[in-house]
Amino acid sequence: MIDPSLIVDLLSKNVLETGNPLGVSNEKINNWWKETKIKSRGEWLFFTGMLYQLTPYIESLVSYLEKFENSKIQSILKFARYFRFLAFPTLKLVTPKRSVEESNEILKNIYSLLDSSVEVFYIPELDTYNGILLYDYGDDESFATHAKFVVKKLKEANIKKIVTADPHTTYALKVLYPKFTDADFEVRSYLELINPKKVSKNGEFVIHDPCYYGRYLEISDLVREKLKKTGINYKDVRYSKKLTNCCGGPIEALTPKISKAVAELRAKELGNSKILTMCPICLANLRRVNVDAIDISLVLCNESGRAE
Amino acid sequence: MVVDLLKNISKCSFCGFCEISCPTRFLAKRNYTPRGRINSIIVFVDLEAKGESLKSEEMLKGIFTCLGCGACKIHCPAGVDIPEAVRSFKAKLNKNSRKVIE
Amino acid sequence: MDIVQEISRIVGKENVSKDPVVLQLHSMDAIKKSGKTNLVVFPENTEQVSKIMKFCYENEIKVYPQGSSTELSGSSIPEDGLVLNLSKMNKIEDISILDGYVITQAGAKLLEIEEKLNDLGFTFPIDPGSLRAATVGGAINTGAGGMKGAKYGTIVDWVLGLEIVTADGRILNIGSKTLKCRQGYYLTKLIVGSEGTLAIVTRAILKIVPMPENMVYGVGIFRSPEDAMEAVLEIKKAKILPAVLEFLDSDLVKAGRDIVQLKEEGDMLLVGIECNFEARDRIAENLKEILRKNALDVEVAKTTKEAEERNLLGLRRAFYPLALKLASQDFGNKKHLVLIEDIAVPVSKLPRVVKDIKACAAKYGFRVLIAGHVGDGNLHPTIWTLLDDSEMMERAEKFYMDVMKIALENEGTISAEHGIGVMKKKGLEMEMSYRKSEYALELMRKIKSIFDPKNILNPGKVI
Repeated sequence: MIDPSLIVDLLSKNVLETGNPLGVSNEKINNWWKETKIKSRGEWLFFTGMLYQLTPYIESLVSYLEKFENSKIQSILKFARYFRFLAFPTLKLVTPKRSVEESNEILKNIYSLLDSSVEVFYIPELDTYNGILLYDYGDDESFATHAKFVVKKLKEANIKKIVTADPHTTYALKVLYPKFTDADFEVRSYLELINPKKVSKNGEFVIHDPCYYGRYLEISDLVREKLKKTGINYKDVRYSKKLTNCCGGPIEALTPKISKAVAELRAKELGNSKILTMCPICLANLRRVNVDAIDISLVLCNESGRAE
Repeated sequence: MVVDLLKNISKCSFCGFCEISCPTRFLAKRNYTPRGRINSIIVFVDLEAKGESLKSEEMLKGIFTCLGCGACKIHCPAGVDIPEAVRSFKAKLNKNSRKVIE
Repeated sequence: MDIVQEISRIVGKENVSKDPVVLQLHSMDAIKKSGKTNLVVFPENTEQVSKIMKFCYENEIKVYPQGSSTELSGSSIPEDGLVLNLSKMNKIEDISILDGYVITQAGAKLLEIEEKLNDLGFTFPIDPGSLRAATVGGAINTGAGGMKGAKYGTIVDWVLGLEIVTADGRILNIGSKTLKCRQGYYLTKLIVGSEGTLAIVTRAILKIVPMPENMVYGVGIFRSPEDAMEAVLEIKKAKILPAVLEFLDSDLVKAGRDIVQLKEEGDMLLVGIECNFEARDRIAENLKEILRKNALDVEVAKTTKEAEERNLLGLRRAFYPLALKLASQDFGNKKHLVLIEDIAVPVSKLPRVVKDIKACAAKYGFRVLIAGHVGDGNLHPTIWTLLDDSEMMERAEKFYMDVMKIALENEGTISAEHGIGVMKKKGLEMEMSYRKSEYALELMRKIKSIFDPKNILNPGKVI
């Protein structure tokens, strides 16, 4: 395992200095909306929390971290220097373009699903990293500082209702922000708001519920209702919904090896069907063990990437 | 904080009902299970109360491999909020992790 | 000689730990006994176990075999030497429907086996309260039972064969895959319940049966344990053999009223009858009629699903959590212990025994909750006590001894399914002397010394 204090220090430093765990400005990674017709006013503010945008780069970082995991503690100092070397420009070079494109495609789909269901709008300048990694690693102080920064921006823009793209951001805004800040937004996952239409998708899918949706926010049944509307054929495994098992993602930066082993266990439970995920971290981590997975937003619309 | 933490976790009866739900239990050592994590914290806090410090790499690894997935929580007959206890203990270790392993 | 190095050579460095926290976590159990060990070892196969035993036998190192340490008798607590934790030997190797068995390594958990069997429509009907945690090796070594004891007995009835490693490292295969097997003395059955003192169990062949098509459940609330027992008699007279027949005493029912919505208070009977799906109406009617005769309130569910929806099993399931909750309400942050007793008496003696136990708890100043598997006369009187209060712990021990005495006076036995460990060693002596059969203990000691001449296998336990 990589020394947690090192990871936590770097994370909090990056988030507090740049608003982003990789220490990169949002403009560099947040590009999905440029090819989409977005509205700048409406009822629900679309807030991605940057998780889909960051995941491809985090995955590249993790594949580097994997090399350090088994090295002795002495090498940590060396590693720290290397970590800085692995700043965004380098990461960008080694991150597969198609992963970035896929993330953009997912966000475009989510926005378009929302657009055909509710009055949604998007303001790129307001979209910020959600800070959840700091919370996960127990750095409540930095998390609170960052959350206050995010909330302040949103409040200044007079935002009341927020719709999110992934479970971590949903949980952060809905449950954690009110605890750590004076946030009082109405927060929903996009999966709660959309009204998907029939789609033509063949084959059977198996649902992998993310922990936050299955257990912490309990919206698994609702997700299934939406899927039924599309006519998509899906199946549940024994450990689903409230009893879902983790993809291993949350510890990928500290111990890529164990994280991968956990993904393998989950992959075994899910079987050989095509897997539906609802979280960028689940999608990436299950793919590390060659699971044939796809983000649910990509099957809720027809191929065009537009809800019909 | 430590007092609040203890209040919650001292209810653990070591029944082990949580363990089967933990994705990291394949590592076999109990520090990689919810029951083990909770009792590692108890060991740590007990020693600290006596003015002693605990040096254990396995404890550190156990705590930081907790996924926070929450699968264990509903199975605890004593009602310990296991994921939250472990998460808040991470904060304490963050500041001392070097001390714990060296 | 460096023991760690030698053992590491056998199992690999990663399967050996001397980390202080690992040592501590593997020296505790579910009754807050804590011992001491110098080394925890995680073998991955039987050959490794054999090599470890050979090494330990030669060097007279004590070995404490361990599953998930959820026993309630102190049987898994090490005193020094090494802990041999079998959790990495957890493969479920073979399920044969035709031959009716499952072959599994000792470290597999009962729940995992049950899930695999259920997928095929089969079951291993031994379901101890610790089903979620218990390992095959642990269940075999404690002689585990469960809720369905009245119909299915305890694990001793379900072990067809075992692979064991002896104290000096020999690998033996005893018993067979067949139901019938006359292999001289029943060594297999001797190992069951031996609590790791005779050999290390590494693999088991367990008998399996089809899952019942349906279960009809009934709950009755009675004015007294006598009335409840009257209903049990009526059930038996009707030639019904319930798989589940649980008793919950009035104090437990009172304490758990929030968990299950009940119209009445009193002593509770929970009855579960396995049946064909088509028979559900008739059996449900029959059960309702029997319970109504002298119950204050009766609820019957025709299917498992209905029973779940109406939460008929809720209170029985909540027994342990409830005891934990009451204990922490009484004692707060102070370290405390929930003690679950485990006597068995002939079913006919239950009303008297329940009364005596309550009087005994009152005498020692404890609040007691009594749940039990009345189908087989097994009761679990439960109290809670403060670990650091030596006076209270002493009182608890006296209560514990007196409850065992009550069992003996009522033609029962001191342990039904939890085993002896260290907690009931005195109780076992008391029982054999009550039966004027002290020599039986002598025979047991001789058996122990034949299996384990150097006394290195879980020493200090059972006898």
